[in-house]
Amino acid sequence: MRMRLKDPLPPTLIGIAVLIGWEVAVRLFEVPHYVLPGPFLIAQALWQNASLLFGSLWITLEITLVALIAAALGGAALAFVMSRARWLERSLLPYAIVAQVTPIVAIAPLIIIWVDSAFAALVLCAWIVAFFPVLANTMTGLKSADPNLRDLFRLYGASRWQTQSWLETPTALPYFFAGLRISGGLALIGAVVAEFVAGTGGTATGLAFRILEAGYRLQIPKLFAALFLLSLTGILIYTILSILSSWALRRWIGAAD
Amino acid sequence: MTPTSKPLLTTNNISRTFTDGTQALDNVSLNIPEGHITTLLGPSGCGKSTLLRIISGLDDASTGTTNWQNGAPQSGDIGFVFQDATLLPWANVWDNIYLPFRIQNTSRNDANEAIENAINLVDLNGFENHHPNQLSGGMRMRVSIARALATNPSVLLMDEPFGALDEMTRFRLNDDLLRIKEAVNCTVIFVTHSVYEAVYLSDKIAVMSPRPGRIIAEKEIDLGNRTAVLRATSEFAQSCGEISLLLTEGDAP
Ligand SMILES: Nc1ncnc2c1ncn2[C@@H]1O[C@H](COP(=O)(O)OP(=O)(O)OP(=O)(O)O)[C@@H](O)[C@H]1O
Ligand SMILES: [Mg+2]
Repeated sequence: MRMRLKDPLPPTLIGIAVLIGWEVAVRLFEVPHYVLPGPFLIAQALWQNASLLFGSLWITLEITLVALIAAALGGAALAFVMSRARWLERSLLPYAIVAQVTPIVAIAPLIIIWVDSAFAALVLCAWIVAFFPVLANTMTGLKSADPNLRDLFRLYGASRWQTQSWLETPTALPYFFAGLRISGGLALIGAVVAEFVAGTGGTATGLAFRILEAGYRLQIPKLFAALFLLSLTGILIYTILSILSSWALRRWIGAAD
Repeated sequence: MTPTSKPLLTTNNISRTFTDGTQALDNVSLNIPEGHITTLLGPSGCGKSTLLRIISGLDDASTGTTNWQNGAPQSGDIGFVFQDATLLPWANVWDNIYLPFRIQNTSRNDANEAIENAINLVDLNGFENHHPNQLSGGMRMRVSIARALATNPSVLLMDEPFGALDEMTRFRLNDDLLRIKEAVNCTVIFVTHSVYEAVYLSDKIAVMSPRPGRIIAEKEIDLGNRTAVLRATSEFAQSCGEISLLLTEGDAP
């Protein structure tokens, strides 16, 4: 169930090999760098545009993190509300699913028109993409308590509140974190997609806008540099969430795998 | 077991039909003698678990009643041990045993003595801070028994508690159960598939028919002191033989 990069050596070696192969291939076949730049050129572009790109990275990161925190809180809170009663689940879940299955590119333009603050609009888009895994997983988790443990709580006359806080919530915690790790990646995707849609219209100039801009101007190495920062961010978010999750679940050791 | 042992509880004509039409129990009337071990023995699916659940109040009989000699049980009067240890995986041994007290809003300080006594009883001193996954299957089952006993119940319901354990561990826990029962002097209703386990542990065995479960025989066992040697005696073998025969006859169409 847990995917951790326990031993960083093999992926690092593969990465280096691919980079060398890439550089060699680009030089050997004389691929023009507006089609495919080599890693060396990309690194150079990253260095030359460092302040610009890292500034944009910060903006994208801000949107992603705010959306992710909102997804964690909102998804979990919604799951709790729905688990209180069947009728609540039946009346709310369809809307959560509608929000999940409607392509964000299709609703992003509307949201950007409706919401005054560009930052808030982008956060809202990223949130819509990111909250569902937390919601769905937490809901599953809240229902996954061992039936015998449920009986035990009932035998000792536990109240609804006691069962929820001492049995259902701790049972749901590993599920919540599994959802959160998926949401981390989705929040980033949501932020990028929303930025693409917002384009120059917004004042926000996150990484996605830099990619568009570099594409229009045929600054392909810069485009790749921005892309590289983006994937690095994705990996970083996943890693941080994994560490957070194993810290929070240290008492579940063994129970989660 | 003396003929004068008064029943702690009596089930009167209990039947249970589930909403899907499955009839699990058919007119079960049974006396559970106070201070003794009564075993429900019967083929899989004959309604043993259902009967325990009805006695504990976790399920309701379709018809029939359960009479408690000393009045309806309160929270903590019934200890239940499931086939799996059924522990909270995130809580250590002490906290797992504290659960029934916590539900009854007893403070940790007030519960401590009862919990430490229960831990002593099942021989788990020093393991208070261990988590379930750091314990063996047999030890987890001891925690489960300690939790059931800590509230000082008048009856201990055990649903195939040792079924998932290896034979050596099972023998050991059988002897532990006999010792613990003497120490706390409670009534035990025990469910098992194993004729040998039933004969070794019980003062009384209720043999059940295949579904819908009926009581086809009630047999009192009086083999004296239970020690490892007992399993090798001819009296033990004879009792096992008689019980097995009753089971097979019950199985015949
Ligand atoms: N909630 C339920 N709904 C419908 N049928 C049920 C339900 N619970 C139990 N049954 C059925 O009732 C019958 C008796 O079940 P029970 O669990 O009491 O048997 P058992 O004697 O404990 O069997 P085992 O030895 O395998 O544990 C079985 O046929 C079972 O399928
Ligand atoms: Mg059963």
